[in-house]
Amino acid sequence: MKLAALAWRDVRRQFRSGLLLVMMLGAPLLLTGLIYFAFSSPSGTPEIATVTVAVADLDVPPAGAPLAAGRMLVAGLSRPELAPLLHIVTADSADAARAMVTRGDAGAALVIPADFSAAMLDEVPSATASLFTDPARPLGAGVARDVVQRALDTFSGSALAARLTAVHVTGPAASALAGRAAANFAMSATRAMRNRAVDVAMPQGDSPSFVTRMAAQVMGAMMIFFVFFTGAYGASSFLREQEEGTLARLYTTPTTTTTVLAGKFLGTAVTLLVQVAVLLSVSSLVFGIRWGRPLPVVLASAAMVLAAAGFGVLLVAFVRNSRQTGPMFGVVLTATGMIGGLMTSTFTSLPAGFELASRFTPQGWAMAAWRACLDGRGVASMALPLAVTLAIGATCLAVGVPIMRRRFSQGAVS
Amino acid sequence: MKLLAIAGKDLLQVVRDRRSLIFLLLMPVAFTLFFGLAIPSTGATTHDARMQLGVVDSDGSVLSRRLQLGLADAGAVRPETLDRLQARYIDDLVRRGGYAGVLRIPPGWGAALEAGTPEAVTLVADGNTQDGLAAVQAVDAAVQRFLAAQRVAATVAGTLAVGGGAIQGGAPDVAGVLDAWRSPPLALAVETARAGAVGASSTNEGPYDQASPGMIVQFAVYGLILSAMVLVIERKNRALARLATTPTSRAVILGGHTLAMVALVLVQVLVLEAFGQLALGVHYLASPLATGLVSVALALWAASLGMLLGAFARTEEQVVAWSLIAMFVLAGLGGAWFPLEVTGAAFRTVGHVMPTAWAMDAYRAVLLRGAGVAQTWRPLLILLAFAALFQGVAVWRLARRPD
Repeated sequence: MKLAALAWRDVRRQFRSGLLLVMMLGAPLLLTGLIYFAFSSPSGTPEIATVTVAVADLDVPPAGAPLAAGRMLVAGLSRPELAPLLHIVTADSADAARAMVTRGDAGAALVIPADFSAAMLDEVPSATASLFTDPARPLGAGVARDVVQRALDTFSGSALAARLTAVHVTGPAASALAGRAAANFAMSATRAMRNRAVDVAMPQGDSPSFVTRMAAQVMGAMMIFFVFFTGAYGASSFLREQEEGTLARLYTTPTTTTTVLAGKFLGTAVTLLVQVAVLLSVSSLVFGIRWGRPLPVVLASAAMVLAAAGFGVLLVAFVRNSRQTGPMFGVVLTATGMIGGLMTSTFTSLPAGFELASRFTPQGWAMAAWRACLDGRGVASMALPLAVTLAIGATCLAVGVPIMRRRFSQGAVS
Repeated sequence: MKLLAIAGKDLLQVVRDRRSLIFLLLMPVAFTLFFGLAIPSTGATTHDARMQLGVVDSDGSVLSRRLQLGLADAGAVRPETLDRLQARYIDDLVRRGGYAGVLRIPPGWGAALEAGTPEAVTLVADGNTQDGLAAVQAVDAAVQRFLAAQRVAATVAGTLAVGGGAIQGGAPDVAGVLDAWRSPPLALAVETARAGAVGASSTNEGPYDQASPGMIVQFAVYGLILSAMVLVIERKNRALARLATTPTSRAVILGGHTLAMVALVLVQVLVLEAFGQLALGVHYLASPLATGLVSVALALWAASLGMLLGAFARTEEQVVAWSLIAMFVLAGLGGAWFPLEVTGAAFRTVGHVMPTAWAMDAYRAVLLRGAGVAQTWRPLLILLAFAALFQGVAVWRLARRPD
């Protein structure tokens, strides 16, 4: 009964702290909300901003040329169907176009060389257009490069068709046939846009949308980070109560050290379970995250709570007073969280050492268990991360509790 | 003189607490290093950052093998031929096996292409993932080149068949056109306006070009906990009220506190910039004047935010909680964690309501394009306007309720 009363007192105290509520619930939901907001789009896939491309068309078609290839290229890039990707503005010179990029007014500058039409007409072997891109907007630059490259491929295809035709024909008809080949290729290229080159098939199984998947990864990581923070904060109540003198007053009643330790641990565990339950429920409702099957989710939550509470006890065992808790928690939890992969949960191609390093932290194993849950795996296939997370929690308690017992026993406090 | 004394007292109070160093300098340095190491940069790392693409080649023709070579040469994916056993678990490989996708080339694909009746290849990929989307783009680009080559071959054959001149030899096949396409008549050269190396062919950002300024902006906000705390403690223990009974004007008192905050943030920003320049190779000196002005504007704005927090918070706990929320919201929305370019339109718009977004715009312009003051005056003015607004509200609040 006394144990429950002690636990309840701590739970109430923790849920009355505005700062702790921010850290327990506000911060992880806020961070996930920011990511969700950042990457959500009507299509459910990443949205690409329209990039402004400044075009300097310096093309000078040879005298009597049947076409002005530079002008055709600009017209092609200005087609309405490309408007969501590119916004074409014209510039008088290459310098003016480049200046727009260096000023930040355009994401890329395309300079069409003077011999562009000449290369199309096989009067020079080749011509090279240049694309000058803004490194501060790499995505836009990539889009501009891909679209311009595809347009140039169409022009190159026409030119190649003409050249390959011309090498097989001699006599006065060669030029006309080459021209016809170029025109035919251009027409076939327009028709070919409607053809499907690749059938994309989704792999079997549930596939949350891009943004929901991202939100799930961030929410999982932030939940672990702030659960470990709450675990440490809960354990630090020993320090605060010792400094405020309430622990000494508590020992004037017939209460053993074991009861105090167990009561405080129980209070922290209950707080953590409530925190996890709220975060899982709210994130599921607000962001549509499907956390996985019930039993694996319950086991992952229980293992994480034990590890967080145990890690908190171990940390506090080595902290001298409550003034040290801020820097100690900040440094240790941030460092282990980083190494555990909590700050890089959405990164897709981390260097190999990061994955290995994450296995040296409790947060890394907890993250592995939650990833398995999100993948819809069963208990059997997540046995290892669950077991290791539990083992780390138990080890932390085994080391931390005797120290805490010595520091906060009736004799030491009174 | 009194102004300097108040500022000096505040600074002494902050610096005497060695914990300040952790939040002002050590944590931003640690975060910068970590994110710099974690962000893949193809130009700067030795590990193969290409995505794995499984290939089930049921065709085995010359063209299907060339398609795989073309995919490898393009650089986005690393094609790997799957064995029979792996080919039975394609869905698992894509879902959990680390493959961005699996490409299935059907039997007779090469022959059909040569015959002018191309068949589609199949790509098993999850379009809801970044890797899946990238795999679709890479495969589509490679296959399109083959289809274009086939159309060239067909066009030449068709044109020659119509005749009209003396025909010599047969029309080229698809492989012949692909060979000819290695030296295209119209090529594209890509240059990047990089600071310190204008004209470099690489379009990659350095790994620290986002992390370093991002963490400077984030921890300039976080560092306010310390300075806002001084103000709150003075209000709580009535030191501010007692100071007001001396022949010291309110303007001098508030000016002293503001000056301390500006100095604190400015020193923090300058130390972190020096670390970025010297240790990480970030081009803060690409335009020293512009970098200096961005630093001052950032310090003025951050100090005004510190005054605002200090003016409204009643307890130390409130200062910590509000500073954390301010840090998350301002850093996240303002593009300190990831460039706003990668986010949706609504986020970009809301992001630019935050002063942090303008600070990041100015930093990235200087670091990546080598922009000078002429190109960064707009974000600088906006930062200063935010500073004036926040400072005005803080002064108004402290004038109305000094305790």
